[in-house]
Amino acid sequence: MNPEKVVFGFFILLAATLNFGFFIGDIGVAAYHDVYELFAALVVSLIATILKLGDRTQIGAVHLATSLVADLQLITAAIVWAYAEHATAAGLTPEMVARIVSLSGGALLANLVSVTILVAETLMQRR
Amino acid sequence: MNVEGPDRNFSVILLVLRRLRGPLILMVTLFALSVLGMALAPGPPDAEGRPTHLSLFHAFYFVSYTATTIGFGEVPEAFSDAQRLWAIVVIYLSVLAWAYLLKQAVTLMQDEALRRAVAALGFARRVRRLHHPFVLIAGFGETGAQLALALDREGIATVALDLDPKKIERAEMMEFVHPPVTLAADASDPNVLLAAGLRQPRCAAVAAMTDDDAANLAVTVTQGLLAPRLPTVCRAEHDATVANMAEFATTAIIDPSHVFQNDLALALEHPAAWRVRQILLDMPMDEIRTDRPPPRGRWIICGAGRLGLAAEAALRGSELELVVIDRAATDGGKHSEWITGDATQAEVLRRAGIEKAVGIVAATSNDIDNISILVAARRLNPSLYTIVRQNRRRNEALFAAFHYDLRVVPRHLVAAEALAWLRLPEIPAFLAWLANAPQELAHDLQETLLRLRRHGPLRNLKIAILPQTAPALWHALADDSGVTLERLLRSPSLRPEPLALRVLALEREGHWQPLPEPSTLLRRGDVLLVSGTAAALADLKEICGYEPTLYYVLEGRERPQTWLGRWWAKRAPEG
Repeated sequence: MNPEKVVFGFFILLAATLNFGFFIGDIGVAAYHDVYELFAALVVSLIATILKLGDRTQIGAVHLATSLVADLQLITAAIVWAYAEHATAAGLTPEMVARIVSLSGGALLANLVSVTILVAETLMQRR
Repeated sequence: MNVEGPDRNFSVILLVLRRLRGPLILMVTLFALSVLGMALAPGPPDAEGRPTHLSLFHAFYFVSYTATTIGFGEVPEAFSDAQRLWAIVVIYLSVLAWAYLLKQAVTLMQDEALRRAVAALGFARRVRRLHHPFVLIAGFGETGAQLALALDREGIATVALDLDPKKIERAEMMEFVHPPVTLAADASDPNVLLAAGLRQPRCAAVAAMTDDDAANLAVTVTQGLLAPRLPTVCRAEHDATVANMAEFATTAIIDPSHVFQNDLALALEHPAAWRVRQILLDMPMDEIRTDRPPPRGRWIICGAGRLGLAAEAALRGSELELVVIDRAATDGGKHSEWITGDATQAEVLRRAGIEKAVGIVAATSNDIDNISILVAARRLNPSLYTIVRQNRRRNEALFAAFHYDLRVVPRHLVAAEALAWLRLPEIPAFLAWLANAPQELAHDLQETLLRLRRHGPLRNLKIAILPQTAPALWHALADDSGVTLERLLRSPSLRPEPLALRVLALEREGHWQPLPEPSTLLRRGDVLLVSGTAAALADLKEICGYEPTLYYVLEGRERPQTWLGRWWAKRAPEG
């Protein structure tokens, strides 16, 4: 067992599961989408990105790309949330919640690709 | 070190990021922990007595300016003691993490391997951005630098490699118009040569000029396999290397001591051809201080290094009386006379028969020794012909102030020879022919060239009578078959004065005809090899390329440019 692989797989899966947890639920209802979960998803996603840095293989490059996509979507979602919550008079309206959640849905897709690659890579390994 | 390809930029960034992976993860984790703690810590109670909380956004804002030690004083809400407690944790954790990250980044920037990688990338980029043909010089020692300077004076860009960073740095101190693109790297590494543009279309030639035969051979092999069409000149000091290099179809292999040996032998046997060689190769003239050629008689050679032995071989070929003085004892009986001792001592020189000698060669590898040998020798016999070897560039001032007849600077010899091969390989070929030509021919040529040189320094030019290079002459030769060299080579401004140039050779159907007669008829496809002043060569190019000038030079009058003028000229022929 390779401890590096454990850490790597852990963060990639955790990023996907947290993202999924935030995403699931009625898209316009704030009660289903906890902002702390978004925060956790973003942090774990950032760590996963850093873990993928410096891998020179082709698969490593795709990993990094999917991770960067997820980061971008989640950061955008966080900015939208901060803007809606603090900078608008209306606060978190259902439209705003829907925007945030749909952005995180995009990130979820990227994270799922990441997980798929991880699984495929693991299955390809003969050792 | 692999430094070719556009993805290398990216991989250096990746290298940096990979080294910073640990600090970055620590940073993100501590940051997240701080933000989360700030958001969870109970704040001051609201109107109903329930504790308020900083939102994640406000917590992130607070931690951002605290962690980066900016310490911005604006707080979204007044803090409770619980929040203050956590703020203390934030300060110590995040400031430490931030400082650690910065420290790691700075350490990385000073990392030798990374700096080399970044330098190599910058080098490859600058080579790719060269817009003119360039010569790739491997080895930027005395010889390589001399060659680069000479090429620079001709307006040719250079890319220079050397193992020693100090030699590379020296390029900045030299008087280049366009300094060479340089990199401190091992030229015997094929990847380095590729990064230096070996396979780029603008790479015009390769010069392997390091002082290490193995490295020069490696450059030759790399070029022979990866860019076989490029002209290449190589320096080689051992016969085995010469043989190996010859396998790879290089343009020229230059052995400094062979060059010197041939040069000296030529000077003794064929002074006129030697003089022509000096002029055509544009050797710096302060290397010859007298007009007299080396005399025949008893010669003393001091120092039996490679150059000393080359001198010995050259002189022995001329069947002169020879004495060799060296600190080491003789290595065999093949030399006519061998004296073991220090040639700077008058007593040793006397033992060598300095009073009867006509010439002396000071060829030790120590410049100061060489000078003091000649000073001592001349005191004993003032009429000696003196040949001195200069090893180090830094002793230039000493030699400039010192009287000698001929100075041999190995790096000049190699650089001049290499430059000749790189610029116009026909010139060395012509000189090789001249060395075996009758004395009178060489003597006449020497007189002509010396006379031409009074008008300015001489340049060499090869011009082919083809539609691209000499359109006017090409067209004129279609209906006028009576164009001779004599008719053509006249000054457009001072006709019928001849141009200040000399045709060295004419190539027709693959055959070189050296020193053609003035009455030679020109034909389409001929190639002329000429030497002359810069102004004369410019005139020649204009004559070959611009029809009105050609017409004037051939006919002695202006060509009527208009239809009416031509009609009139036809009606009333000159009379």
